Amino acid sequence: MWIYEKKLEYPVKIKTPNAKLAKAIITQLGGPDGELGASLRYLNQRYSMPYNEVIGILTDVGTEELGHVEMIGSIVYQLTRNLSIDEIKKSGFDAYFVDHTTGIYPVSAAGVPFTTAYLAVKGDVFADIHEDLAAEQKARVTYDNILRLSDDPDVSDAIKFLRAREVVHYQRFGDALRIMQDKSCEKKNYYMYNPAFDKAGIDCRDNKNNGCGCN
Amino acid sequence: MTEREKMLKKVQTADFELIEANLYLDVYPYCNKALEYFYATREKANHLRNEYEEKYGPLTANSTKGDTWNWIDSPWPWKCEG
Repeated sequence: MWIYEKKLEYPVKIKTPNAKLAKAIITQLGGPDGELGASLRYLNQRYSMPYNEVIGILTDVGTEELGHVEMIGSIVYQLTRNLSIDEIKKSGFDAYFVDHTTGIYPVSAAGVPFTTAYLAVKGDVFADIHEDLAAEQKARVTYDNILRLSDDPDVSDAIKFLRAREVVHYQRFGDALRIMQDKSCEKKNYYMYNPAFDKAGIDCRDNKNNGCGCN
Repeated sequence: MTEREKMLKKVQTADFELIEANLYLDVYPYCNKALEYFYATREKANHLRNEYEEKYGPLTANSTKGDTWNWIDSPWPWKCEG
């Protein structure tokens, strides 16, 4: 279950509309490394995850990403209000405008609609957490690129907050990876089995013979 | 920044501290220092939230009080443009 809170995780307060910048930033809503994909990736990876710590971090980071979906929506909304037709044409926002007016629709910067192909749920604990570590780095790079394009301090302030969150999430997924390695019965080769599917050897620290051949 | 926004920023700051501690505790569940920090911050955050809601209306539909359904009256977060 989720409960909505009527506030953003971090304030978004943009004075000057800028459709050109909105067109780039919307990629963090509906693009390949965007917040929508991140949230759905983590929340869907939880079900097959055998370790409580890792389920916890996937749940709570996935939930925070939903808050980031709302922040990006707010940034794009505020950047595209009160636009004249002339501004829409000049900024290159016309291609988006003709299909969605100034509604918020998840697309990439190049206009490709959001697709679940961005999610990646492999059902293997190591594959999934490595996917998540890479996802956080890719989102961080996208925010770095947005900061290179933005000359509006109001926009950059919110984007810097979101960038910093990618770095923290990367750290926490790194902690999750270490936990999974510690729990693995085979210390030298973590990848010899998938604890999400191969029930034997999920956790051999109890020194029972779980049939995995390690004791 | 309006008075309402200043007060909301305080709630947002305290809630952010809670999110940070929450994520940390997920992967370091036996860290007593972090757990103490979480409890202390939660108390502060709850206090600030009650203070805000008393003055400016509910932050969740669940915390609506009074004779009218004022959940929908206070500004939606994306509307607070500069």
